[in-house]
Amino acid sequence: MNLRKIAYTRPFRTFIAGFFKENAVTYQLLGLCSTLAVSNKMENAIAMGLGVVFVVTISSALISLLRKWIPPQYRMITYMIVTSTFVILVDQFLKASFPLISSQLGPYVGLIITNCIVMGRQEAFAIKNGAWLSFLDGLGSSLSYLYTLVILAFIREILGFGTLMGVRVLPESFPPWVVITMAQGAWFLLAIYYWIFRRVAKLKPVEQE
Amino acid sequence: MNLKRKLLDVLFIVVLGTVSVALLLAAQSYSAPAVKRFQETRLKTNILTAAGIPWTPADFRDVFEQRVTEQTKDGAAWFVADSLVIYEFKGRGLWGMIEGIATFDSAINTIISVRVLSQEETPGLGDRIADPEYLVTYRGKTAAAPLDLAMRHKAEAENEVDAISGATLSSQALLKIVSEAAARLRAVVKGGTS
Repeated sequence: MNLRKIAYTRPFRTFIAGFFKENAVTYQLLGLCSTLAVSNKMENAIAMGLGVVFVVTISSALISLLRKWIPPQYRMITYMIVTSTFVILVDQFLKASFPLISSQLGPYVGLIITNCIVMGRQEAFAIKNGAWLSFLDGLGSSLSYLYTLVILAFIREILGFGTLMGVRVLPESFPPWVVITMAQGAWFLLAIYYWIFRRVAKLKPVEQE
Repeated sequence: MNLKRKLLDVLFIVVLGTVSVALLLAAQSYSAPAVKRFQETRLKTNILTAAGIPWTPADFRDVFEQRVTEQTKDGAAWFVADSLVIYEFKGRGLWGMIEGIATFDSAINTIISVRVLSQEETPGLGDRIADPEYLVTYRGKTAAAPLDLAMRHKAEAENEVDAISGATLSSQALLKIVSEAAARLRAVVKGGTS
C-alpha cells in the first residue's frame, strides 16, 4: 500500500498527533509529576513508560466500547474504576512474574492511577470516538510519554549517576550532578527540552486573549 | 422516568464495580502464592547476605537451614547466624510500610548493617532510604542508645546517622523504625533471663 496514502488516513493521523505534535508531556503538559520523579534512571523510565502505555491504551479502548452506556454524570467514577482496575492488575502481574523489577519500582506502578494522561485521553477522546481510534490515540499519547521519559532519563542518569542502565559510562572521577537527580533539577532539563521540542515541532505560541 | 434513569445509572456503577472487584480478586489469588514465595526468598537470601554467608539461587534454602537458626522468646523472633543477630523490622514510613532486616553483633551493642527489603516512599526522593549506598551510614552505629539524625553535618557520633537531603521525613521514619527495633530486640534478648 502507498505509504503516502497511509499518512493521510484518520487512524494514522490520530496516532501521530498524540505521538509527536500533541506530545502528552511537552504539548498537553500532562503527567508532569511522574515525569519529573521517575525520569532519574533509564530502568525506571522504561518500566513506568511501558506501564502507562498498557494502562492508557487498554482503558481508552474499554471506555470507548462502554461509552454508549456510561451515564454522563458518572463519567469520572467510571474512568477511575476502569483505570485503577488495570493499574492494580499490572501491579499484581509484575509482583507475581517479575518480583525483582516490581520491588525496584516500588510505588511507581501504583502512581499510574494518578497520571493525568490516562484520564485526559479518556475524557478528551475515548468518550467520543470508536474503540480502534481511541486505542491508537492512547497508544500515540502514551508512547510520547515513554520516549520523553527515556530522553530525560538518558541525560539525567549519565550526569547524575555517571551510569546508563546501571552500567558505569563516566569515569569515577566525574563528579555526579546531584541536583539533576532530584525533581528540581529535572525542571531545568525539562524546560530546555520544551524549548527544543517546540522548535522542532514548530508549535505556534498560544494566542493570548 | 427520571427515577428509572437514575436507577439504571446506579446499576451501571454497581455492575462495573462488581466486575472490577471480581477481576482484582482473581488476580490476587493468582499472584498470592508467587508473592509469598518471593517474600520468603527475599528474606532468606538477604539474611544470608547480611551474615556474609555465600549462597546461590539453587541452594540458598539448604544453606539457610544449616547456618541460620531462628530463635523466639516472648512472642518475638530473631535469627542467629555465625554469632550475628539478625532482626526483621517493619514500621510506618512517610507513605507506606518500610520493611527490612537489621544485623547486630552477638551482644546487640552495635549495628552491623541495615537492609531495606520493601518501602513505598516518594519515588526519586524518599525511596533512596533503600539504597545500599545510603544504608552504609548505619554501619557501626550503636544499638544500645536511641539513634539521632545528623541534619546539617556529616554523621560522626556513634548514635548519629546521615539524613538524605530532600527526604528528611523518610530518613527520620527509617531511623525511628531501626532504633525501636534495636531497643525491642535488646529488651527481649537481654532482659529477663529467668
